[in-house]
Amino acid sequence: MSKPSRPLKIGAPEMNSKLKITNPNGEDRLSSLPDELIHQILSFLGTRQAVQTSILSKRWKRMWTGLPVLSFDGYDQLFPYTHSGIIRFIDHVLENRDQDTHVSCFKFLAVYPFPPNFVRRLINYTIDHNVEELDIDLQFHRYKPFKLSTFSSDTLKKLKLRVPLDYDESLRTDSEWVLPALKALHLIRPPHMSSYNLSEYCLIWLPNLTTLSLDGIRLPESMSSISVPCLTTLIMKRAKLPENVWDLPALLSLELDEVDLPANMNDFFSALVSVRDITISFSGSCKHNWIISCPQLVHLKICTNFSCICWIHEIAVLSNKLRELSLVGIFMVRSKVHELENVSVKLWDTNEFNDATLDEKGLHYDFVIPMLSELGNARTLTLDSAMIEALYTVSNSLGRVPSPFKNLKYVKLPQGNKESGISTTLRKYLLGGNPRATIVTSLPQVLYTVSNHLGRVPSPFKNLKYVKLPQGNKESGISTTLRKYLLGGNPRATIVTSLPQYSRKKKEKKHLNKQQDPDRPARTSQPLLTHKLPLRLYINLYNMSHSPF
Amino acid sequence: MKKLKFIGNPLLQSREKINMSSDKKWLTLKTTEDNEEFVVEESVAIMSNVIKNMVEDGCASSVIPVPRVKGNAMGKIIEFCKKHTEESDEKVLKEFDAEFLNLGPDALYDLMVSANFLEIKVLLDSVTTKVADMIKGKSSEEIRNILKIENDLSAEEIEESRRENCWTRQE
Repeated sequence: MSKPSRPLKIGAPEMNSKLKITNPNGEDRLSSLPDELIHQILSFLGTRQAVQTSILSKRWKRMWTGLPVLSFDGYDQLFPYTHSGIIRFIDHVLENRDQDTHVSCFKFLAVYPFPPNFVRRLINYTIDHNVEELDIDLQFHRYKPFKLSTFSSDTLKKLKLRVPLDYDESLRTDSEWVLPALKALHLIRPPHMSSYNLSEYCLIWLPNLTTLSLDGIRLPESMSSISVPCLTTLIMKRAKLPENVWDLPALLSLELDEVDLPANMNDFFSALVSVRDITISFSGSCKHNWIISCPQLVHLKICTNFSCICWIHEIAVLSNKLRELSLVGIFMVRSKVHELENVSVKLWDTNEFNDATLDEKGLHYDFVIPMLSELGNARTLTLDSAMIEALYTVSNSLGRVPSPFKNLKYVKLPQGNKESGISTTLRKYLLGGNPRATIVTSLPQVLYTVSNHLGRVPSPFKNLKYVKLPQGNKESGISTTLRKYLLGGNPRATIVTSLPQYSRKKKEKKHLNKQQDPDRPARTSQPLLTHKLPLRLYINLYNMSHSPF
Repeated sequence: MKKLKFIGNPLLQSREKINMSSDKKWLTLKTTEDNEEFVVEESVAIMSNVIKNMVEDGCASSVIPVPRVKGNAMGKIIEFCKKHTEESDEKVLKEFDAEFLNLGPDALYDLMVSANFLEIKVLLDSVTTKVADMIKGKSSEEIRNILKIENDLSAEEIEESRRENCWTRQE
């Protein structure tokens, strides 16, 4: 069979020659990847496009049939499917994929209101194929509530649903909802339903649950008496906390987003004896001061988007382990730790800030200095443009206040600001407390390649015989480039860890002692080096290169 | 060209941080294909499951040979791992990844194969996502060009495939 001629490459605007794999052999490198990697790439494309790859080449013809990820959620504008078209397509996929391949992840977004039987059939198919992750979003379409038993599966680990759910009937009797492997549950209330309490059975019958995420759904009222020993992550959005304080001793991460925060919030905090991360966002101002007595707390993030300050929120953090603090808004945060590694302060969410009136901004600016005075233990301080603007506006007061920062190392400026643009007053305020502090635009980079320097420079040592390494280093640990740099000029040179004993014969030996030990000066009358070695040359040879500033 | 890459914090000012036998453990990774050596912190190297297992099983000496990975790919991988070990802010990492993966398809391919071999899930996910982004929404013709796939199907086979798989428009 004659080979089909190569298709004409008609120029298209998207075709960028840089994108072509410029392999001189014209080899198709991607197709030689193992199947699992190609599947991983296809899994990001949505099943629709994955199926379309069947016409790329022979190798790709059946590639999609082994794909364990099925995702019918991204309906691209290029191919507007009709209602029946989608159903036909999904049916086709389910029939023609390799039936031995399990379904690891199934995502379904109902663009149209599909017949409930169709949805049920999909769910059954995935459960029959040992699905591990299920994500069904029926959006705002009105369906008769699904019984929870519909989702019973031995293999399901992650379940995300935006569907009307029927709790009562199936959960009154035990073990109707069997999800022994479930680790993560994410329930979103469909828009047309009003808020309700999660059934306590949901938690009781999920012994292995580690992550619970509720959006628009409240925790059960009996939360204080429910034991969820494995729960490590709790995310709640747009709901109220229960009246009685929860019992979550194992919780490591808490996120509250637009949650009504009650007066006894402090009790909720103190019940979280293991928590390490707390993120709280709310709008408006919270009317109560907080005492966050979570002894294991490491990261704290508090955001608000109020537009008018009527009250300053005071927060006391009682944790010795606090390392990172991130604030959006004006808060007086007091912490007893000696040093806070990272403190990030944003006055406002950027978009809203730009729309605020001068008066509104002014109200906030008055509190910036008191707020920063509480954060004196910061080691790295990151500021946003609103904060910089605020500090400039109050610079008269800045001049009169000593720098509150005792442990500061870096002040990171927001994008677009230059270190040179910082006024002396502001500089004194920020850096005055610590002479080694600096203002940076990006925190130090971590990659240094010395090859630029060492590799291009010929070895300057013409007469070298020995290079003695400092204590603790092995000769074998010296890399080839460093070796070449040191020894390249003299083939008889060697790297040693201890200098050889002198023989009687008095051979002329010149060695280079890199330790620069004052007791043992270099035993040579000639300068061996092209330039004077700084004290820490050895280390500096590794640590050279461009400063990021 | 033999290169030395020592990835470390350049702002090590104080003496105790420079001392290599301090609390931080260091490993040397040597790519056996082109004999390049990389000195990295153990905490960074163990982002690779393969290396992590070697270290945990105690069969890693101070120099770990790494086959099948080229030197420049190794350098990039270490840069990635170092950043991901140090930075916990998701946004910063995302920006870093976007910048980092701004590479040609060949380099991406090398990274992908190496990350797969070394079992570095985070990197593999990032690279495969990037490749997927390169072909997302494109027609098959465009995908063939981008990924340099030779079309060895006949016109009839293509048409048959199209019909079977419920296309609704010509490509």
